[in-house]
Amino acid sequence: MEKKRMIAGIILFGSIWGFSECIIGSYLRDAGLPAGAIMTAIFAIGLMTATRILYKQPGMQLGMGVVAGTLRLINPFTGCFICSAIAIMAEGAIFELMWYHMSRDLSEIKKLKLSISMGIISAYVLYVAGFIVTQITTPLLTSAGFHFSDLLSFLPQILSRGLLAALIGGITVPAVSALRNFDISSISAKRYYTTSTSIAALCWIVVILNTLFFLGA
Amino acid sequence: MDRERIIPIVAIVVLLVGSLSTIYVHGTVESSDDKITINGHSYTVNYIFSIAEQRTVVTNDGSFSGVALDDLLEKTGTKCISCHTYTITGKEGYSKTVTWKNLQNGILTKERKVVFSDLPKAFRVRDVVSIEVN
Repeated sequence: MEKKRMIAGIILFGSIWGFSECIIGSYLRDAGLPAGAIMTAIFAIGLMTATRILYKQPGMQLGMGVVAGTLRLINPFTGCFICSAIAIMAEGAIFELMWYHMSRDLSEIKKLKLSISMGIISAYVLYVAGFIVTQITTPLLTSAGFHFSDLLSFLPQILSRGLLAALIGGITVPAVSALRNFDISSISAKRYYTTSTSIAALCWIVVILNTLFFLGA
Repeated sequence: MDRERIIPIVAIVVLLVGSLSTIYVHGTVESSDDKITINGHSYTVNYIFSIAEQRTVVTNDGSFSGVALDDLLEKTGTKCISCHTYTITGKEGYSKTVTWKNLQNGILTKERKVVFSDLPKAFRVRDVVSIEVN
């Protein structure tokens, strides 16, 4: 895999992830839906698994987390956006750690039982870890400070809410596994770079316009 | 043990942890009657609104009105108010610990939600059941 192609992939899929966190996540929250579980189990897990399958390159998902987190950083919605950005970056790093021992061609997830299991584990761990990261970083960045007892008393709720993410993740990974037969290197360089740059730019433009609209409102 | 066996077992453990936590959470959720315990004493929302002064706080997503938390703590008999931190707990066990300075920028709404003008949304505890003086 060409390094340049991989970097374009990191920027493209990281931007889509960041865009979904900023724009779609806000709509889900406003609609009263469990945004955290949906964002983690469908978008975060879906996009990171898809890139792992398409590019077969460990390390990409950490880069995607950094791109998505950076995009989240420029969106001022929903409270502590620095904390959300850190949580997204942490999700990328945790995914890398969990999938570290998987083979490069992900032959393990060809079996339905294993792909469902990996989806359940990944979505649950990512959701719980992301939640805990925000519960720690948010108070740390305020005058109230972090109190471990607050986290401890809410831990059963966090572990409970992760169940929905786990169940959705158990569907997302097998569904994304269908991409296994698609060869990303078969796309011509011109078409690949034009499309990836355009989509990534569009994601950033929409989020920036959304931010400007929010600040002007 | 190979990966093909370990991964499904871990997935089952994950589902069990999630399910047992859900059972635990539903079993321990405190009743949401009209009372709020402040420093060990129980008060109705109506009583709280009758003794403490009202305040409106402005946040980046609008303004909220309710009783001033610092005045509420004073009126309910907390000694040396600035010496303590305060843990506000919601029905679902969600709790946040805040300082005296934060209380001066905070309110308790009729819907039993606390809102602070100097803290992010994560500190908005809903369905407050208790305020502990630490």
